[in-house]
Amino acid sequence: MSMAEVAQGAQPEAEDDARRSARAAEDARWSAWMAAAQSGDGEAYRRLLDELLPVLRRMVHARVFDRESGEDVVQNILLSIHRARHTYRPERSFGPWMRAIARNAMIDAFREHGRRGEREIGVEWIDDVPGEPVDPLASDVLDPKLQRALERLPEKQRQAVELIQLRGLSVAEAALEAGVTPGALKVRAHRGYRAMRRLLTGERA
Amino acid sequence: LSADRPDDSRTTDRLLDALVDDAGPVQRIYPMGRVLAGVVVIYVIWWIASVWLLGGVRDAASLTEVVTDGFFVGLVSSIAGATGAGLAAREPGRDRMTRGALGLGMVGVAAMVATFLLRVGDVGDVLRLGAETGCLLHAAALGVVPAIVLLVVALGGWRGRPVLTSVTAATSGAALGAIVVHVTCPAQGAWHVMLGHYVFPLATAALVGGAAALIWRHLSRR
Repeated sequence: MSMAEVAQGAQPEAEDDARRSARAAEDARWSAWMAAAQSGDGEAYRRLLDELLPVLRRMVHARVFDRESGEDVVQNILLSIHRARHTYRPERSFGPWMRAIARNAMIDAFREHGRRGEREIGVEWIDDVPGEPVDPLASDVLDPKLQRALERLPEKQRQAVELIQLRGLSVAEAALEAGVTPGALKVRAHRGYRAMRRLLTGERA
Repeated sequence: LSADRPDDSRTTDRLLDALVDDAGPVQRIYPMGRVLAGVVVIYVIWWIASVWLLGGVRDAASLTEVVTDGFFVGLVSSIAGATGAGLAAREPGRDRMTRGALGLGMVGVAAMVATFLLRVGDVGDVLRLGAETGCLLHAAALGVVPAIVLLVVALGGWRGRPVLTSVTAATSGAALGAIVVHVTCPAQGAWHVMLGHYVFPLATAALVGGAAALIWRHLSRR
């Protein structure tokens, strides 16, 4: 075997080694940042999340998610990581811990996606309400009928509808504020919409 | 109105800010080894106390005879498998431990089935469902405390796999109750042991655990 062949054969190995050590360094960095974040270091946590974000986006968009719902899943993963951060032990590798949470959130999203068709409520019901069409995001000019219907919802459903539709928060942000999982928040919101629709169509009749 | 508004990178940036703002210090979960040791100690104490309360190991059986019995080995493997899987579920990324523990549980099933097949032809071995039900109830009652212990320990960690956590906690507790029943029950016929000391308690626990997890998930979304 010539020297050139030996050198050619050694090149992929060297690249593999370089990749492996880069990954190990990345894992060690993330692990240290998470350990610091567990002690309340917000700066380390911000650096960790900033580095994780593109990794999670690549992971999610490599699946079948479209861009919009993919971003939703990324947010759910970030929220899950946040809620589970006390379960990370620094003596263990960070990557498998993070990937397990991401995988779990993606499985939830697939399940949710499968059920969504049955549960989705179209925007057209708002048009059924007599009077001027209302922008549901403009809370200060909320139609009195919508306002009344909203006030009659059970507290948790009302909170979900308000956080998403009136305050314009994403599902993950709303879930963080309500202290529940994104899935639970979506279910509450759906039930709220359904109840509001019943109330509004009832009023019209 | 769809349930979720279109989420774009702007809302993701906002979420990152919210998460960082919310990131106070947290109490890290205890290392797996320490948690496992703690659970084992509690289980052993509970087992010894329960056996003692039920009048000790069945008559005419030496301890060596009891612990080398195929059914006993099967039950112990099932407890170890269910407990290991339940504890592994509290830490994300413990896939290898979960698989290993579930494998150990399968070894328990295999040991039970093999011992059953070897003994099923014994003279006088008949099925009396009343006796099996009695042992099922005893095993279930004795399994409540260990199941709750494991559930509390597991819920202190990751809650991403509620069904696995709940089912393994329930089956682990029921298997511990079953092993108390197994070493104290005078009836040792193959059918009775297989059904009353194993299949009924563990299947009931798995069903109750699974149903409880689904009900809990449903209620938490209300």
